[in-house]
Amino acid sequence: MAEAALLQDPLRFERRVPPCAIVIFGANGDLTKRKLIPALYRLAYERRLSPSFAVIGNSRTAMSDDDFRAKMRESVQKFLEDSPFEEALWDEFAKRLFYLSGDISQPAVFETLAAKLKEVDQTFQTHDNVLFYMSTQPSHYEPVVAGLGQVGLQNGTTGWRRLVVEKPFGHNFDTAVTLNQNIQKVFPEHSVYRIDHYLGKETVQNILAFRFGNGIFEPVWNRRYIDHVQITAAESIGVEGRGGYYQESGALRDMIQNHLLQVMSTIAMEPPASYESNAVRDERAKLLRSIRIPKPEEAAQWAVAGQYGPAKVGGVDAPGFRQEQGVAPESRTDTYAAVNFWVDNWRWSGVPFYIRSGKRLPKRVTDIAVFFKQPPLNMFGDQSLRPNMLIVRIQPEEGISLRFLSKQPGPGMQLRPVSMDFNYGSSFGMRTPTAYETLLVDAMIGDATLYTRQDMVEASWRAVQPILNHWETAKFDFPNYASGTWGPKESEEMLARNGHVWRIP
Amino acid sequence: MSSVQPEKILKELAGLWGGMSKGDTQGVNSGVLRACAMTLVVAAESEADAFAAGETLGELMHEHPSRAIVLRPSANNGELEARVFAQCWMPFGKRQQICCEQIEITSSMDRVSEVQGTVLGIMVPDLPMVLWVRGGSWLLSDGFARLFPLAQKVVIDSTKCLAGTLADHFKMIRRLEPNVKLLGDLAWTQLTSFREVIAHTFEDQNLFKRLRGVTSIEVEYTNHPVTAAYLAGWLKSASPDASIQIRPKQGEFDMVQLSGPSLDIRVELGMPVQFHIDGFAHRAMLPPTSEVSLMREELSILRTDRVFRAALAVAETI
Repeated sequence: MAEAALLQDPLRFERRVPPCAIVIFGANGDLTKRKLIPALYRLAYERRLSPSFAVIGNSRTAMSDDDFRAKMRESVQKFLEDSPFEEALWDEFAKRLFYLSGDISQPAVFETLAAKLKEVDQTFQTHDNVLFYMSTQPSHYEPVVAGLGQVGLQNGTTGWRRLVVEKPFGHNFDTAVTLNQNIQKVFPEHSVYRIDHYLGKETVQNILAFRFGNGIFEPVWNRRYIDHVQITAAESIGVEGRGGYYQESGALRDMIQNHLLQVMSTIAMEPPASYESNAVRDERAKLLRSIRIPKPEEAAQWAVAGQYGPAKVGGVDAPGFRQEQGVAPESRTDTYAAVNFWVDNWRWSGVPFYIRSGKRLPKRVTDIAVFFKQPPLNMFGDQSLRPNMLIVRIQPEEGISLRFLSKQPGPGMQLRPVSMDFNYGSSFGMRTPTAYETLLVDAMIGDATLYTRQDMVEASWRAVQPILNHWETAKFDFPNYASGTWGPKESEEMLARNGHVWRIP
Repeated sequence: MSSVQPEKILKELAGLWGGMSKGDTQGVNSGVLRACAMTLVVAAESEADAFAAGETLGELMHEHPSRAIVLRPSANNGELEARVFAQCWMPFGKRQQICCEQIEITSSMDRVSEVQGTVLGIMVPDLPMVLWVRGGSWLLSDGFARLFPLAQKVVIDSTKCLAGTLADHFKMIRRLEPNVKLLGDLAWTQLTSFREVIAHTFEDQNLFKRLRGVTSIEVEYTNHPVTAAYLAGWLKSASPDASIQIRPKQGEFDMVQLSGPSLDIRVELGMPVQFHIDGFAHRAMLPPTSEVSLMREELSILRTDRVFRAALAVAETI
């Protein structure tokens, strides 16, 4: 490859996707329709896919190739973001979409799949490269992996084989370990790509550029200058018809254990030696392993569970969680979770990391607020000095803001907080790729930097498991927050114990 | 002392923004947002060219918001003149307009040395400055060259400023180099999509090994020998022992012929690109390029471009 690199021009050429086939298990599901196929179409629109490319979708529903294509066309037209739909391009793209109905509990489906892959390889020259994408229910992961192994599809003759696994990676620490073990019986770890779409977001990647591409932040990025960190992922909507699924997971499992701990690891990790897949993931993993595991008696102090009740929001009646479709009337599921994490290393010892996530909060926002320590002396009389704050906005308006105090114009010395803003959209007017576009390209290229590794998954489960254990038996007075508010009062109390308050994003 | 005072221009700019923000009566989440990531100085060839440059800038601003300074040549030897205005657009689905500022300076060639002082005073501090020279006439002026050291990058378009023979042209580029931190040439940039598809073809290891044995690289051009020379220079990096020939041809598209004992490839650089390898033909469709897409690419590269430098080094020996 070094020789062929002679004609390459990484400054100017797009990272090109090699020839390959993608097999999507759960091809009739929401994720495929809303995210995967629109992302692949968008890559085709940007001419980033190889012409030697094909998709084989599988699910139980009986459907012809043409039915599948018609369904996917509808999805792309509906869910494509910031891009036009081009008939001619779709026609070319759709020629490469195939469908294979079949029950993954039956070995025959994998034999048919093997034959179909050969056929596709001959027609489109996919070079025997196959990316298997698990877009199914989590309970199907292990049967699918075992089925692929039984017919030897995990090994290519001349090409590579990779497996992309969607979250949740297990339901708790033990099941995550078992899942990893069972996957690794068939696929080696380096071929397993555990997707956490938060890591594919441009702003989350920008945290690395911000921290390690600039010299001014790292010197103050530690316990001497930072007082505490707040990470918020709030949604204004409820479970929106996913009550049955959500009831089994909850906010801690659905958001904090995976997405938000990955965000925290990006904010708090040590500088990697290089921007190379394992160098970055090693540092993330190290940080996750440094999170203090709460003792059973601490789990009650360091975490708060909440569940929304009914309320009138903006003049409209919003049901409580227990009134949502598919939710048990006595459900104990946390639709809100807030956790105070501590990181036991030299950089962060004694700095609380507060993470909260919830549904039916006042607005949809995901951001990270880094609170700096106050100046040691207040020389401005009785005016209270507010801490400097650095805010990384992940969604909806991606950007970074620095809050500091400034003198208000006029006589005297009145201080007023002001904000210095960097807005992603105005500084880089170009369209940012969706997380799935980024992550799909990375998987096809074989770049696992933004994917989570087995040790990272297990470390993050280890950090939340005592809280889950405590919540199993704890008595909750649910619902404990009204829709349209910032969560239960116990959450405020948790911060107040450390002398802090939640900021209002 | 320039007759176009930086302080006056900056004051006018402040007034412009002040006026625009007063027009924002809807609160902080609407109105205009000022965006700037660099200073882009554009040296236009004529009034009509300045107008065309303005159109391109309007599109470039979306991805590379900048304080644009357009130098417009005037025939008479009058005073330098300047005017300021804003270019705005409303991003899809947003309520807030994003605006960039544009300053137009009119100068005759013989007063261009005075422009340097003005540009120095109105460049956005601490952000990169890129100088885009749209034709050859400014390059002949010594006074204009005083702008080069201010720029992080100078972008020229060799296809518009071919100076004498090919050898003379590359000598002229060589002369620019000591004063220029980074050089870009749109004649090279327009080759990117062709080069990409050629590089893609040679990712086949067998084909690539045979490329190493190529003894002759021939490029036939329909328009610009500079582009042909760059292409040949780039290909020689993979076939170091090959001789190079470039010559004009009639027709609509350029053609590349790579020959050797074990390889015979002809590439027709049309739309689509057609490859003829060992008697087999295949085609590749490429996205259309435009001045905007070429400049977008150049503005994204504010560091040493080793591949370009290597191709340039070979091209100037042809």
